[in-house]
Amino acid sequence: MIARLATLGALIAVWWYASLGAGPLGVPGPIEVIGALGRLVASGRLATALTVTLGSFAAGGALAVLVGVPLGILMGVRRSIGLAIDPFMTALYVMPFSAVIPLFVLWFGIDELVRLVFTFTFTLPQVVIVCYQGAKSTPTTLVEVAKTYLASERQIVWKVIIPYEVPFIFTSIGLGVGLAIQAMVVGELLIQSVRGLGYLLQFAVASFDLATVLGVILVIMLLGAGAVSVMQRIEMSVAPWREGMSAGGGGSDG
Amino acid sequence: MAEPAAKIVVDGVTKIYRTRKRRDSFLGRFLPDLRPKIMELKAVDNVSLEIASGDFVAIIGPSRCGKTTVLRMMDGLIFPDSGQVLVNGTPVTGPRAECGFIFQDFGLYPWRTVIDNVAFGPELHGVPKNVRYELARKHINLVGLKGFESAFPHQLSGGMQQRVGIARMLASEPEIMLMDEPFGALDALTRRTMQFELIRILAAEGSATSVFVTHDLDEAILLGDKVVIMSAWPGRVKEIVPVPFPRAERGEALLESKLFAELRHHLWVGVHEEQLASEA
Ligand SMILES: Nc1ncnc2c1ncn2[C@@H]1O[C@H](COP(=O)(O)OP(=O)(O)O)[C@@H](O)[C@H]1O
Ligand SMILES: [Mg+2]
Repeated sequence: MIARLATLGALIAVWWYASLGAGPLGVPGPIEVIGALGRLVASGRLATALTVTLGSFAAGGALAVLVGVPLGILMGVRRSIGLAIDPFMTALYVMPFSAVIPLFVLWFGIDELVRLVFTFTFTLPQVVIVCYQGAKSTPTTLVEVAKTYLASERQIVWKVIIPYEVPFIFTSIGLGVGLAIQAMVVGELLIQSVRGLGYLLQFAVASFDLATVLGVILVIMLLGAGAVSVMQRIEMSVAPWREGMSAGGGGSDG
Repeated sequence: MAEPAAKIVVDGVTKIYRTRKRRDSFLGRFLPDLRPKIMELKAVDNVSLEIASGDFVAIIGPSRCGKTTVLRMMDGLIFPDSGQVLVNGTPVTGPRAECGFIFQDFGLYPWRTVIDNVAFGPELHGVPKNVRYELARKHINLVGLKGFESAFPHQLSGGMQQRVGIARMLASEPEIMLMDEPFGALDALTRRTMQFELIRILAAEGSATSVFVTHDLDEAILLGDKVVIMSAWPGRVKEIVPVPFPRAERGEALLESKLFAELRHHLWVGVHEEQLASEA
C-alpha cells in the first residue's frame, strides 16, 4: 500500500514537473486537469456521457461473459465442439476492429445498439479462449478421482471441471473488463457519435482543451482499475482456496 | 454365493499404449508426414497374478516397468489389449464400487475442504449431508486429522494431504484398496511415519484386500504379505517373495532385525538386476 502511494506520488511529481513552463498546447498540470474535471462534473456533462457510454458497454461486456463462459466450458468438455469453434474464435480475436466499425455503423446505427454489439464482439473471443483453455487444462488426476468414485459425466462437469474453472472465469472477466473499456473508447471515437465519452473527448480535442482530454482519460483509467479490483474482491470471497495457491499449488512436506 | 477363489485375478494381461503423434508445427499440417502415424509401446507383457481376499501385496520394480499400468487395469481406469482382469470373479469393465484408489499426487480437490474431500464419494451417490459428514468425521479421526475438517488442502503438509487421500478412500468403504506409490511424493521421515500410520489404520479397518505399488524396499516388506518383483520393460512378473513376518510384529524393531535385512537384500538384488537391464 505504501509502495503504491509512493508510486502515485512519484508519477504526479513527474507529471507536475513536465507541465512546468509549458505553453497552452503543452502538458496541462494536475491542478488544471482537476479544475477541468470539476467543471465537467458541475455542468453535468460527465454524468450524461458516462451513463450513455457505460450502460451499453457494460451490457455488451456482460453479454460476452454470459455467452463466452458456458461456450468456453462446453468447448473444453466436448473436444469435437472445441475443435470446430476454436479457429473461428481465433479469427474473431485477430479481426481488425477499426476496419469493421464502419460496417457495424451501417448495420447497427450510431447509438446504444452499435456500442453493445461492438463491445460484445471485441470481448467474446478473449473470454471464450481463456475458459476453453481452462477447461482443457483440468488435471487428469482430478477427473480420474471422480471416475474412481463412479461419477457420471454430468457430475464430472459440475463437480470437477466447473469448480476448477472458477479462477479462469474470473481471469476472463478481468480481461473482458479491460477489453470492453478499450472497445468502448475505440468504438466511441470511430462511431462519430454525438453523445457519450467519445464525443466529449473529440469535442475537447477539437477545442484544444487538453486539460479536459487528460481528465476524461483519467476517469476512464480509474473506472477500469476500479472494475478490476472489484472483480478481485469478488474472486477472493467466492474462491477462498485460491489464497496461497499461487506458490505451486501443493503444500510442503512436514 | 460361493466365495471366488481369488479376490483379484490378473490373467495373462498385455497392455500396449498407442500414442498418436502430434503434428506440432503449423507447416507440418500441410506437409506429408513420413513417420508412422501411431507409436506403440508395450508397457506390460503377459502378466499373471492372483491376489487372495485379505492379502496385502506390494509391487516393486524399476521405474517405467508398468506398475502403475497394472494397478490402473485393476481399477478399470484402462483396459488390457489381451488377457483379462477379474475382480470378485467378474471381468473389470470400468471403475467399480469395490475398489478404492490412492494417487501418488494425492488428487485432492483444492476447492474442497478436508471434510468435503473425504465425503466426496458418498456425496456423488446422493448420501445426505449429515450422514456423509458423520462418515467422513469418523475416517478423518482415524487418520489423525481431527480438527482439520474445514482446512483447505493447500493449508496442509504433504503427509497430511495424503492422510486426507486415505480417509477419502476409506469413507467409500472399499473391499479392495489400490495404492500407487502413495508416499512417493513425501520426504523420507514423513514417509516412515506414514508407513506405520497405514499399518495402524489398516489394522483398525479390518480385512480389506490391498495392492500397493512402491519403489521403497523397506515399505514393501513392512506393509506387504507378498512382494511382487516386476522385470524391466516390458513389464513381467519376475518373482513373488512371501514376507514371513506376522502383521502384529511390523514395527520399529522389525526394521533392525537380521531377517528383515536379509529379505531387503534379496529384493534389492532382484530389483537391481532389472534396473541395470532397463538402463542397458
Ligand atoms: N497414458 C500413456 N500413454 C502412453 N504411454 C504410457 C502411458 N502411461 C504409461 N506409459 C508408458 O508405459 C510404460 C509403463 O508406465 P507405468 O505403468 O507408469 O510404469 P511405472 O508405474 O512402473 O513407473 C512407460 O514406458 C510409460 O512411459
Ligand atoms: Mg508409476
